[in-house]
Amino acid sequence: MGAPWSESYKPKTLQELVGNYDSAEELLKWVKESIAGRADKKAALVCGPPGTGKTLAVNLIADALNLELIEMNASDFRTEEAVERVAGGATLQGSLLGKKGKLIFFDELDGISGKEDRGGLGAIMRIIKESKYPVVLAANDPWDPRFRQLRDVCQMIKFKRIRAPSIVVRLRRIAQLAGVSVEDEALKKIAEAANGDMRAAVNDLQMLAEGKKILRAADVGRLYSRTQEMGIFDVMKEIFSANTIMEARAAAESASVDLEMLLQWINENIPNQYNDPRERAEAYDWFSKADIFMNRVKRRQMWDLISYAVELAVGGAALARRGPYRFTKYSFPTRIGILSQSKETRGKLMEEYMTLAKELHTSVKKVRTEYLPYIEILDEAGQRPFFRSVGSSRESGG
Amino acid sequence: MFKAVLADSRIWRNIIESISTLVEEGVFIADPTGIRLRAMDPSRVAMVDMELPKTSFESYECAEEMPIGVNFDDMKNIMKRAGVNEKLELEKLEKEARLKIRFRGKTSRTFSLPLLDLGKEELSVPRISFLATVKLPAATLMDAIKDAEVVSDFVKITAEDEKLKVTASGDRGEVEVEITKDSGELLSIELKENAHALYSLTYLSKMMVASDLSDIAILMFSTDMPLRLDFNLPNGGRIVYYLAPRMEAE
Repeated sequence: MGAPWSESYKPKTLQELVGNYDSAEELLKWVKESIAGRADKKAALVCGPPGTGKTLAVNLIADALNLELIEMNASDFRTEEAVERVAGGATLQGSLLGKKGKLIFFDELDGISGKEDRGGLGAIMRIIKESKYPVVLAANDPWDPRFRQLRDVCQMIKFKRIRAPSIVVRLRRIAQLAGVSVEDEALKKIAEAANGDMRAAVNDLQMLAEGKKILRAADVGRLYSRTQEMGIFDVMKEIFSANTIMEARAAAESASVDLEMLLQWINENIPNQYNDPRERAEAYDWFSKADIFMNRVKRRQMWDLISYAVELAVGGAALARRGPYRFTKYSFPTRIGILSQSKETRGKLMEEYMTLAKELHTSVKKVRTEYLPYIEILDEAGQRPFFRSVGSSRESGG
Repeated sequence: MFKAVLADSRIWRNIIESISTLVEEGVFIADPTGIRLRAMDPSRVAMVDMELPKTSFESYECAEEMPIGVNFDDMKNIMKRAGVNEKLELEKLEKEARLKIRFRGKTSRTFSLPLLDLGKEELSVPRISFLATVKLPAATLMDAIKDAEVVSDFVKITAEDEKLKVTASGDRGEVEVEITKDSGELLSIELKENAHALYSLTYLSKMMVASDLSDIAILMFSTDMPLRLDFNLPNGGRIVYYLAPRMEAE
């Protein structure tokens, strides 16, 4: 197989872009304003599902405006140092090749992993603040909690799934360039199976048509349909507005977050959705039953039980409703934020429990449940000769 | 097939080090005339342009153009093993995606380096007419850069009145280095016009790694334009760096 068609038949100009013209136009406008120093936001966050032209649009805009594109993707910006070296270096110097300016582009932001790469995200924030050149970021899911700070400083530009008829037009053109004649029905099938992902459609076309003279609808057969992933806010709405358990479960299955995360979202948003205490009580009652199952799943690795947990949690959340569905602003689970904020404190406490456990020849669990209450009493009474060191660092640790 | 023998393996070691300070991955092009490489650093602020002609080698065989894509960290680690008085053989067969690196001294040691398929980015060097061309001992330039690094992370280079001035200022103080013909340190200076520009010391000091290869540095620049820094190798061949100017602080 030769070069991927998705590369070799890539649009060369902005005018050739398929779908999302408005978004590309908006981004172009923002880049121009940013260069002129008139943009409201310091950076632009281009977001949308894969294969909708985000990276391509940024590349074409850099070409169109004769800007030097400084591109980094997730594997390059894992560490603060790497971001500083590439983007940091680029923001301070002029252009070597005589371009009119630069465009700093952080692609595939989703690939950055939360904990280890925090330095990388911090460095990106700093570049956004200090850069003399426009900074553009791209991500599939802009609502990821890690990007909260970024969202505040970025103008959000959405790229939507590309409609099947538009994909068909482009596929027909590519087939023509590649010298394959393809039946319209076949193009339609490919386009529909791609579910708005242009790159996937082109790849499928290449896989089926390369080396052939004619591609018939019958050759296409059954393409594995790319299931549409829904954003978490849509999933919440679908779950809470469902009228049957089946509907709620279907919504849960199309969520792009993992199950535990989904349960956190439900947990957080039950009181947002329901004002009536009876509704809340019922939703939480079912949710608590789901939680028992989840615990079994985790403790005993009994994965068979997971479907019960899903049905109880989402079904309960949906069927607790006593009136018509009410539009609700869903919020991000606070538990995750609290856990990450208290991580250091919890770590310190754990260290102290372990020291005590060693001194007292007992288990950490015993220290926590049996000794700690007494230590607290001793602390309060100001009598802590024995635990002075531990007691004092406990206070500073919060 | 490509096969080249260098009399002194340390030359190749120094070349690799000079490239690897700026570039992580790059493609050497071997053709019947010699080996060359042109690459930009990831921030696209600096460029290195290396060529080593056929005549620099003890023997050289290459029938047709052959790209050799390497990871410079890996190659550098291999080249660190180069011993004194060891010859170096580089060999690549047509179909193999590996480069054989052989040290021949008291023993024969062969490393096999997996090559990368990097595709070709055709880079052209910046087209600039330079107003100032200054030739000076590499060690003198190195000293000036090290002096400047004490107080700042960028430097102002000025050429005027048959003098080269390297100045830097920052929160940590100020420094001025004057290099004149009288001291014998300025080998030659050609000025079409007086010129001055700011450059990042981070990049400049990385480029000075190549001073191991040549005693003399040739510095070319124009006001607020990119800089070019040449190191000519004693046995033919050269390493040329380009560096974009630092923008004036607002």
